[in-house]
Amino acid sequence: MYTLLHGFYKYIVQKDEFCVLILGLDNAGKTTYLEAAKTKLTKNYQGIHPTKITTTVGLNIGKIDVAGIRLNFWDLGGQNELQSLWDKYYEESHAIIYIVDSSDRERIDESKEIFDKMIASESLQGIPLLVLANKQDIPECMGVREVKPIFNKNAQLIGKRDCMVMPISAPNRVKFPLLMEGVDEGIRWLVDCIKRNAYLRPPRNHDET
Amino acid sequence: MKKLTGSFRYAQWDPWLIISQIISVQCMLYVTLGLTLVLLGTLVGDTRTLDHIFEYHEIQVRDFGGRMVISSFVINSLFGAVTLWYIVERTKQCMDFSCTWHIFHLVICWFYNGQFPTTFSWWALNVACATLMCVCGEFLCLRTELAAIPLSLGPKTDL
Repeated sequence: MYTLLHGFYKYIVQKDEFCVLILGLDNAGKTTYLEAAKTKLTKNYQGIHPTKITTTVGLNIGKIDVAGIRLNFWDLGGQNELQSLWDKYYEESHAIIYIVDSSDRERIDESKEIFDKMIASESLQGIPLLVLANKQDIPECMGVREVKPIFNKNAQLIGKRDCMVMPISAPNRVKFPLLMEGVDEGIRWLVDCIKRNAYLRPPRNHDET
Repeated sequence: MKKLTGSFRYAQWDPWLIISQIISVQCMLYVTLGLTLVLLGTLVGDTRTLDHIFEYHEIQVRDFGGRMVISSFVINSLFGAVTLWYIVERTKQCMDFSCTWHIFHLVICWFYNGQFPTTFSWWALNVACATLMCVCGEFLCLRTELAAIPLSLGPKTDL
C-alpha cells in the first residue's frame, strides 16, 4: 500500500516536462550558457567555472524547474561531425535555442548555413525559436542589429512560429549584469511560448500512459 | 519515440495493478489459512469456525486448540511467502505487501471483535508472521530476480 500512496502523491505533484535543444556552431558558448542558466535558476547550484568548460562531445543535460514546469535542456555538441546527431533530437523537442558567437565574423556565414539547414527540418514545424547573440562582452562584436538581418534573410524558412533574437553574455556577471538578465528573460519568454504551444506539442509525460 | 509497444509496464506506477495484487494476496492467504485450519483441525479433531481466524482469545498456548491456531498462522506465513513470489515477484515490494496484509487483518479483526486488539499474544503472533512472510518472500523473489537471463542466439547477425 505504501507504493500505491507514494505513487499517487508523486502523480499529484508532477509537473509537465518540456525539452529544449541548445544548438549552434562549436565555440558559440552553448555549454557556458547552460551553466549560466542553471546557476541563475537553480538554488544552491555550484556551477563549473567558465574557464573549465571544454568542447562538448555528445551532449550536456540540464534540468531546471521554472514557472511551474520542468525544462530539460539538451546542449548538443556543435562540432561538424556531431551535427549529424542533431536531427535525432528534433522529434522530441519543444523549443530551440540557437546560439551565435557574435564576435566571430568569419564564421557567421557558416552559422547561418547550419541554421537554415536546421530550421527547414519537418520535425521542427511551429516550435518556438530563440536566437541568442552571445559574447556581447567582447568589444567589436556584432550587435543584435547586425545579427538579426543576417538570420532573417531566409525568413520564409523560419515560417510561422514564435521567434526572438536577444543579446547575451553568459559568463560575465559582474561587468554586464544586464546581459545576464537576458539569460533569465530569454528563458521566461521561451517558457511562455512553450506553454502556448502545448496543444501542438504536448509535454512529455502526457505521452506515457 | 512514440508509444512504447509491448506489454511490460508502460509507466512507473500502476495503481490498478497494485490494488488487484493487494486484493488477490488478501483473498489467497485467507483461503490458505482456512485450508490449513481445516487440515490441522481434522488431524486433531477440533471444530471449525470463523472464530478461529479472527477471535483474539483463540490465540493462546494453554491448550492444544490454541497452539493449533498459532501453528496454522505460522504455516500460512510460509504460504504467504510463496503467494508473494507468484503474485508480486518484486523483492522491494515484499515488505510492503506483507505489512498491508497484516494491516487489513488487523482492521477485520477489530471489526469482528468490536475492540482494538490488546492481547500480547495476538500482537506477537502477527508481528512474527509478518516478519516471516516478508523475509521468506524476499528470499524467494531475490533468487528469481538474480537468476541469469538466457539469451537465445538466433541466426548470427553482423555486429
